[in-house]
Amino acid sequence: MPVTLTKIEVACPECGQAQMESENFISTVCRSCGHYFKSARAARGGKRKIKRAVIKKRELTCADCGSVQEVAEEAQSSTCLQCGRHLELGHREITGEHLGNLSLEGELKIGPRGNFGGSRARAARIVLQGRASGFLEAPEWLRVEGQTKLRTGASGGKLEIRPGAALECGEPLQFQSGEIEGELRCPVARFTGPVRVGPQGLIVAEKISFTELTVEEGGRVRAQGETFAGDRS
Amino acid sequence: MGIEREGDRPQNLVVSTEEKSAGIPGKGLQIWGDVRLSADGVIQGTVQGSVWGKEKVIVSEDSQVSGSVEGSDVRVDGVVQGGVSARGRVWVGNRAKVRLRCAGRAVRIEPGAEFRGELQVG
Repeated sequence: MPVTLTKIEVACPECGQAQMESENFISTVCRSCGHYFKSARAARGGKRKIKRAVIKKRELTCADCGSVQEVAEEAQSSTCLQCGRHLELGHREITGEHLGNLSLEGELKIGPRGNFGGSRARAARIVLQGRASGFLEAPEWLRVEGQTKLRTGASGGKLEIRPGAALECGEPLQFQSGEIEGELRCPVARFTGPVRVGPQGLIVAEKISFTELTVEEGGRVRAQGETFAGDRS
Repeated sequence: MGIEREGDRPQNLVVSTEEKSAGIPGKGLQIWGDVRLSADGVIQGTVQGSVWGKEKVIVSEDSQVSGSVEGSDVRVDGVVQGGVSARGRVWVGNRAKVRLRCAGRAVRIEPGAEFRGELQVG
């Protein structure tokens, strides 16, 4: 079946000469004066717009240089635009022996039979159920969920020790805050913010510092204590 | 409220009261010696000695105790040099200073408070 093209009359904006064009025409040349002109629809920007999927982004701070960049939420790795460091963004679980250092922007879980044998592990969030020989750094939080041992120390945002869990640490701990519902045994625990010891909580330390301490009835603390004088001195 | 001196030593003060609470001593007043309170007591002044309370003891703001403070529950808003111990709760307010010891069944040290010493809770 033949297709009929509908034609419309258009006038040249330069000389006014009328001519017939396809109704869907985008641009043409005046057959009288040679002036090139676009159809009214094309001139309005009538090009079909391509809809692109919106890529959700999140901020990522480099563990080495601290520079902030935006990466896609689903990205698994990236490279710091400032210092070139490779940034692993995903999560990792250690279920057996792990040698070598780790640096993640996601979550690290050291399972009940896991043993982190590297010298340093850094992850935004760390769940500790097993053992670690190296230093643990968790800028957001370190959560202790089992009977755990840390041969060296740890630092980070919040230290959480769940009820029934225990952390025995060989070297100093430094965190912004603490939520101690289980047992904590360490030489030195330094909190630059508040510490709460729950009804089942226990802290045994040579020295503990904090800005604010709440020990609920049932909770126990045996330590030389000192309020953190960071803002005063 | 009755105040009496213990034996020949005028420094020691024993306060027994039928009232629920007692304010010992007044602002600006100084006591040289230990204070024993048989009811709830509020320390408002300077005590050059220790304070022992049968019930709750409060060391109010601008007050100082050079020795220790003991009571069923103790709240400190002033300065205690010799440590605080309670059979119940210890509360150290945000402008308080406590040295040497803090012991009780439950402890709260507010932000801004100064503490240095042994912590023995529970």
